[in-house]
Amino acid sequence: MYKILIAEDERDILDLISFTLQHGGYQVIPTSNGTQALERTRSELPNLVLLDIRMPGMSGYEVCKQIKSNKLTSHIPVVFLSAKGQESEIKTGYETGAIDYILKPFAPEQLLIRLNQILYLHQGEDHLSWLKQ
Amino acid sequence: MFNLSPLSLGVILLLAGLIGYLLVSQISHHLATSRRNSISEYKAKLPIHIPDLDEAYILIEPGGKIIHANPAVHALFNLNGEKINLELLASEVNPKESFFAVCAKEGKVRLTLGNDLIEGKSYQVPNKTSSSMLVSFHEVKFSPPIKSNIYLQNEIHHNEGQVDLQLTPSNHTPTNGGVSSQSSQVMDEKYQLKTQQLRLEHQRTETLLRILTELSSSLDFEQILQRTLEVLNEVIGASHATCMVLQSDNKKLRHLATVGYSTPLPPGGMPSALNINQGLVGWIIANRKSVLIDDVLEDERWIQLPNSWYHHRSAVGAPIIMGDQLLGVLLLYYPEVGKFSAEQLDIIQAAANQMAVAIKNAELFHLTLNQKEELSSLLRDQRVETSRSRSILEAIADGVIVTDQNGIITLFNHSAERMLDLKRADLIGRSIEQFTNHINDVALAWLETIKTWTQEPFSFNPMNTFTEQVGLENGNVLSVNLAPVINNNEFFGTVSVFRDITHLIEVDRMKSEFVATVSHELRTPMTSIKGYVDILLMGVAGAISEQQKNFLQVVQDNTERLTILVNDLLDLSRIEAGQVNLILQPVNLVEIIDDSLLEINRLTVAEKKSMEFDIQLPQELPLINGDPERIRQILINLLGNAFHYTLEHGNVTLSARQVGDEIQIDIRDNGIGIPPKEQERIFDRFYRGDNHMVIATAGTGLGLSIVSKLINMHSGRIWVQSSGIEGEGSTFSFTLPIYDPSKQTVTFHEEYVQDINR
Repeated sequence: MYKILIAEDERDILDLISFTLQHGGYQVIPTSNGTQALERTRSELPNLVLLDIRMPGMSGYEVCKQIKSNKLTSHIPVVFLSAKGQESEIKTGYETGAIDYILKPFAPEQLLIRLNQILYLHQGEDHLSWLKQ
Repeated sequence: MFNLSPLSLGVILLLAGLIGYLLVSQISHHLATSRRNSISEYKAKLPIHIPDLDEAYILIEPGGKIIHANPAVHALFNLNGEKINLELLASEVNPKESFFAVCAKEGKVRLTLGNDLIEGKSYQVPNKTSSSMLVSFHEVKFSPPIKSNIYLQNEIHHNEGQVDLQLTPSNHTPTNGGVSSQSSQVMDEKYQLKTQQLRLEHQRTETLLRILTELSSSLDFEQILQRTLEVLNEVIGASHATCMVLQSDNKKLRHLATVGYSTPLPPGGMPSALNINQGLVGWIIANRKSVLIDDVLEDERWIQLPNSWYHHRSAVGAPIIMGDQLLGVLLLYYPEVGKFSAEQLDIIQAAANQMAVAIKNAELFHLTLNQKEELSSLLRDQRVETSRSRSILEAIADGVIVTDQNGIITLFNHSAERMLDLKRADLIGRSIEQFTNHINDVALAWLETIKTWTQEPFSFNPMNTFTEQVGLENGNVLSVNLAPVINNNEFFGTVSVFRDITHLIEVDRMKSEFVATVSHELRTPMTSIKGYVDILLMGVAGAISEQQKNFLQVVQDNTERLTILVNDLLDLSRIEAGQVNLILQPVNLVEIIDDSLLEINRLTVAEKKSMEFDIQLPQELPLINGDPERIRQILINLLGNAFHYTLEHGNVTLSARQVGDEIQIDIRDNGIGIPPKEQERIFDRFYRGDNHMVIATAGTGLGLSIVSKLINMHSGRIWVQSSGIEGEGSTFSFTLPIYDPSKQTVTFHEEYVQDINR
């Protein structure tokens, strides 16, 4: 079962995402701030990290950068799920190394579809890199 | 021969002179009291100087009235205050001329005036003690009688009972007091006449010389005329004199100088009471001739002005003529008849000629002066204008730098000094290239443009301007606008205007921050609402009844509506804040139309409302210059409106064609249409029509507002045509520029500055 780490400071939304992903068949690691998210990413090495951007303490951008700059975690796909919808914000998100940027408010069903696709493609990539090895 | 009285003491000298009417009454008083001090007072008022004589003398005025007798007379005639036969004597003599001298003695009396011998007549006069005494009368005609210029000299020679009295005009002829009576006696009469003529000529020349001197002594025209007239009258001795000059309109004369009148002339003179064709003046002007009148009252040309204080009798006048131009008239009067002589008229005419030159000179002088005034006032105005423009440039808050056609800095105002933190003293008068040393590299493009324009003045389009942002080391940001200064196709240099936009940029940043925050804060709660409603509707949180499902559907629809509203609002505010920057590129419109139709098709499926879409495109459609994402937004919005406001099974047509250097896209439907009165408001924010179909459709009223702004940003136009009749629908048309690779001049900075300056 794939593990997805969620970082979201809004309790309601964290629950909503958790419920949706669990319903979609994923194991969920819920965290409510950047520091916690980074720690648990390193310790539990999830298959995907879903990050909010605006969080107390470390921002989602920073978490993503840290994940991507660490050899141990840099292979993990990071997806932003944020209410920040400005072009520059989205651009920054991709620049820090995210694979996707999903805007709030989101439709739970579509979120699931997107994450499924990403994991499916990533699995293929992993498989390819494994073959290369 | 007359009998001689033994009591005669030798000499009785009697002098009679002409004096003014006013003095007459005083005279008898003097005769009665014989007070010495009164006499000297009186003598001071006489037009000639009477020496103090010990000998007896009397003064008789024309008409025969005795006006003065000295104490010696009383002793001689032993009068003791009685008025005896002197009255008789006086009436017998009755002098006609200006002055009348009477001398009496035993034997012969001689009287000389200068070198001229004045002949006398002898009369026998009764005496109180003896029967009679001999009195010698000498009529003296002074011509002209000039006050203070003629002296009676107290030189009486007792020579065998003879007395010589010399009357000598001083300053004119040598005070030849020592001329012996013998030599004078042998003077030939012809010689005397000649001498007289020479003397007059000399006097005349002297007067004219003085007039000339006066005329050239000053540039004050009126003062010149006044002095000249005074000098002339010192010689002529008129009671009144006036110089009248023709006004510039040639219709009136003005008194510009007068002598003898009680009131002085105001500055600029006084108009003459008579017209130029009236009276003596009129005659002089008409005939351009001088005139000499012994008695004006008997001259038909004379007009006696009513209420005049003056009682002129003699008059002499001359025209003031320069070439063939009459400039004015000179007139002199006297209250007695026969005052003026032909010789005096000559002097007056000569003076008038000199005055003509002076008047003409003065006219020329004034002309020159006026022109000079005009020129200097013009110059002054220009200077004021220049310094005003300069002051304005100095005072404005924008930094201004002006270079001349050689790239030399000619103006560097205070604001520029402050903004760039440079000392203008180091830069004014230097080449603009000096700037390279003073300003950091970011302004290089600006410097290069000035250099290019200076070196090749016609390399730019006259409407061209240059705009750039300059970031300074201290963190401030300036915008610089550079333009060439061109007048009549001549290049005068460049003007650069710096504006500190640090604050604007800061405000701009704060605005974006605000928009970002609001956007985040609105979307976060909506995320929860939408997410949970969706999950409930999916049924994954447990089964829900049909009615619960319907209710949740309402929540979902309205959440959707709210989301669109928030997105539209943010979109619009970002466009208005200038934060939306088009990413312009060559765009294939056909692709975007296809893309948009897919989106609309989803809409028809979702809303289960069928609609026929007809697309009419030419074989070849040029690429357009635009931002594909924004063009797609425009198309979806307009097609969406057409779809929403047309009844089911309606028809929507999209056509595109080239018009000039633009592509025009028309989206026509056969829906409800837009009444003409609403058409001008539909592009306003939040405006939505009254139609039931509009009300029934979810919408924010922001769509067309955003569309119209996006089209404007593309330099396109949008308009609508509709009869407003339901079923006839409406046509929305808009244009987009065709992509032209040679015209890709729009830079980020220009667009940016335009936006923030809005």
